[in-house]
Amino acid sequence: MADATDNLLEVRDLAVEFRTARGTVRALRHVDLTVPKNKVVGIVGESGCGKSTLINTLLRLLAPNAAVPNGTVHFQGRDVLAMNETELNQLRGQLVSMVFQDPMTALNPVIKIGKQMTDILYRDRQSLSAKRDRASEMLRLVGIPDATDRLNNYPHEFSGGMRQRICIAMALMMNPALLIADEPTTALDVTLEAQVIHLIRELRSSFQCSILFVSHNLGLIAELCDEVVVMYAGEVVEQGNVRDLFHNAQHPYTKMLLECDPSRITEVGPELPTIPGTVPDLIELPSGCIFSPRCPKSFEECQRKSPDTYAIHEQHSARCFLTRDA
Amino acid sequence: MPELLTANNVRVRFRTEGAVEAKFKGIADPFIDAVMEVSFSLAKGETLGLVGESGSGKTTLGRAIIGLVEAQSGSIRFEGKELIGLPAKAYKAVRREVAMMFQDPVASLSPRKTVRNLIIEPFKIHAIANRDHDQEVERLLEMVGLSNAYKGAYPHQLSGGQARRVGIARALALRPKVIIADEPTAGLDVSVQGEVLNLLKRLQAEQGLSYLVITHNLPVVRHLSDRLAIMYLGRFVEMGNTAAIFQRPAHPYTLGLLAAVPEPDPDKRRDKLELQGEIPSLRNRPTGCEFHTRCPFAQDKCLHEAPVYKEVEPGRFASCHFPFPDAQTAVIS
Repeated sequence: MADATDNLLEVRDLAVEFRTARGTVRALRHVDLTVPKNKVVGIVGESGCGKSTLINTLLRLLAPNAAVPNGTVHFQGRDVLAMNETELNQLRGQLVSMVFQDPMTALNPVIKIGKQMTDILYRDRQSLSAKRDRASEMLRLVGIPDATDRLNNYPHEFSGGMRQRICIAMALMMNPALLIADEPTTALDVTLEAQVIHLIRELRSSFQCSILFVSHNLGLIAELCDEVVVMYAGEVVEQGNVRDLFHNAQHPYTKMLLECDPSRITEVGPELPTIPGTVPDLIELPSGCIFSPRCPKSFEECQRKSPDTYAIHEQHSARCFLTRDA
Repeated sequence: MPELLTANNVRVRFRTEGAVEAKFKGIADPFIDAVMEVSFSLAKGETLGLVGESGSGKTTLGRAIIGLVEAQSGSIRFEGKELIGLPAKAYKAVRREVAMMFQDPVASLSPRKTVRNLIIEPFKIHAIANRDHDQEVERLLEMVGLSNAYKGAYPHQLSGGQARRVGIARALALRPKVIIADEPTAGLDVSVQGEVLNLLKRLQAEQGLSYLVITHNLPVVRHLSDRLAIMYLGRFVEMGNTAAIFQRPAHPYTLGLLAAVPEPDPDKRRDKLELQGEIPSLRNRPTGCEFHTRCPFAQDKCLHEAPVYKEVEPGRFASCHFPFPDAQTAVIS
């Protein structure tokens, strides 16, 4: 593993729970996540796997009924879980910024783009015109023509793709150390998706920030990320660099997920592979491995106890007994 | 194969300004053409995929077929019967045989109805006196692979995949012949997408259904449809056999769409973008070939002269002055 100072974000053995009327939802368990400097880390997983809970924990945006019974989150060496409000305000928006899923709802519809952009710079003691120059410069950078004039437009005057570009520009305005992109292209067409991914890749080199890219689109993960974390039902089941993960997946869930991606199909007709069964109830967890009820390769030990994380090599690990035995 | 549904030169126009406003502003033609002279046919048991970016008119075309928007000219025939200009009452009977599955699986279900009531709604709307609604609900739930236990659930208690299954059950309720499926897998996880596609395939095989699948997701149509139509600015720019189009697209727009789909393989990253820019406004259609503003192969001719939509090889239609492989050679030379 790399030296701790090379890592921007380190999450160790994190657990998050939500208290509900039905019982305690154990949303995250034993989550380890490392985001090195200047790397793009992808988080893949299906709905309900805890992607959003994880991101919200990083920014301390959890709902009031949430608790963190275990684990640590360190950002640039500082303990996020112990930060006070002032420190958190610095973390959110300045050190870490976020691009959300839906560009239609992420922008305020009744405030002009220019105002929304310059508002982000409230920490800077600059003149408004200097801030507007910076805003139009950012718009130009993300490929919006006539940037200076368009500062006076409202969000509805931009197309969906443009709006997502604006959201990216806004996220990068403070030169954050970490950009979190939560399914940034689900609301866009394939052509615009390709453009936005291209843009993120270009900007990444000029802004020198790390990116945490959350998606369930395996194609985009393969396209953009250096390292990948696969989550299932609140656990990290496998992590490794993008090549290892796509070419040498170890965990049965990762393998099945890769197989059932419709973009792998090249002909009409044949039955698509699926993952039989459903995601387990996180209130009453199955004993043993979380994936064992759906796993075609599960054996007796899998039902009895939960596997640890086993390394395949230095940077590739999976939470599966088969990896231990291999 | 007998043609079930045929469309000929269908045109759907939307008014952009009121008559007075248009006169005041001096706009001679205050309309946009959302669907422009589109023709296709759908045989029994066949699946036709309609593909294009947002704003290409694919949903409008689907809605025009079941009369949710009015088509101004052309002809849409279902089993030989003309649908354009049909009075609303008569259209209701058509919708028993041509059903629609709407976008967004959860939002297309009324949040205040239980799954049971959602599924029997079509019977009520069409005043079909069915002695045993519960038996129908059971039959339909089983057909789409949902447990009977979901009968009392409300849409917000369902996952996206389950809600999609309820939508399919509703579409199937009246035993239609054609189902228009608008983005059947949008918003679903990859593993659930596979389940829904398998289900649609199975139902088609069992019941001889015809599908019109509207989507921007190319892997989905590749799996589901026999033939494919690519729409751009309300027109078909290419139509033909699905496998053939995926193998050798004739229109540069099709090529661009295909190239935009990321492959789940980190060794196949794309370095350049095939399609730049966005779909132009319908209010301001480009001159000549309407795709020339984004076409990487555009020549002088494309700026001034609109290409004719014609058969470029048996069963393959395209509207391009330099359909592939000509365009590629034109660029290379």
